[in-house]
Amino acid sequence: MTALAQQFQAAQYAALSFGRFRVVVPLQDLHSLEPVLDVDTQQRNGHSIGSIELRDGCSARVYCLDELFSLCDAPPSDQRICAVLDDGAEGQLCLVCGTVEALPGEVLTDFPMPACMTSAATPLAGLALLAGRVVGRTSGAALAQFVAAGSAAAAEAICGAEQLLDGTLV
Amino acid sequence: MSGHAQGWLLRLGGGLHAAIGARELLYVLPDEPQLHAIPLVPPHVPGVLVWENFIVPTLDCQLLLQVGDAAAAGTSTGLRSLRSIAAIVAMGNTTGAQASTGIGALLLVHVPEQIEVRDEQECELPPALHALRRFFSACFEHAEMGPVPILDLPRLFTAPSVRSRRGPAILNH
Repeated sequence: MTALAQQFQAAQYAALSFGRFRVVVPLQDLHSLEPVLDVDTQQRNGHSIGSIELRDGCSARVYCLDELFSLCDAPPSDQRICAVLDDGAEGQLCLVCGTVEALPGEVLTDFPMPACMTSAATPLAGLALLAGRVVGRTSGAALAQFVAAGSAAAAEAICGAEQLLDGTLV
Repeated sequence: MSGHAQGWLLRLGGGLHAAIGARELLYVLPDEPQLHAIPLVPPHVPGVLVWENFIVPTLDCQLLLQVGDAAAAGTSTGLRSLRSIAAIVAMGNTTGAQASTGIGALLLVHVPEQIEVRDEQECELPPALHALRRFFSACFEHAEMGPVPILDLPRLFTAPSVRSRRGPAILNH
């Protein structure tokens, strides 16, 4: 077994970077990695930048988040990897990120989310220290809910604007 | 005979000042300590800092309390701030398993100043702070500063986020 294979076998978490901010998810939530070049941008829908065909024949919607966790309509220049995550509902969510690193659990020191930083809006369940740097703790399901909520809010806003233009909403 | 207590006077920026008890100040980090920004947190939490292998939430009290000179407030969402000193403070239990939730940091414009407060210095909160009285445990009259509120640190560090909408913001380039 190669050193790289041993590293992955020992890994329990995957660290994904979005700009300067990194999150860790359980490694079992990471379905696969795909190059951003394989994204079919003809399949744009709402705030998804397109879709990507997975090796099992299914496809997944692709979304971009920046380091403030805002949805972007194009991948930031330093984010070229599609991390395909299980969404907790037998589907997949694809997020474009900069780096993906497999980590053993013991390199993380966990901390609860400070009370002054908790909100219904965040997919972060807690924070952790990783080699002196602060990372967020989350999961594929939490990220999928977070992105879905943003897309739904955007769709509502578009629908409301269209109704205003049609004169059907006063 | 009147009682007296030791404490620290904190200059929070924009002319805002407050005090904490002598044992509540654990450490002072001068020279713009490195703040790590965390997405989707309230503007008055510009980030966290790492101290003694703890992740410490850091508050910008001027933004939380929305008082003082707004022009001196710096930016509310980035890491730039005119408040370049951080005071590490204790909120009760700072040992054992609960230690990480018992420590916070406040951004300051000046190093804390040691003070002594006597019972007869107690006074009413200034009217400008009445709406925020939940964040203060008492107030006293300082010879130079006038009324100085005493921070209720546990309440300050559990002030909820005003952000309630679920999901991310949408950026259109």
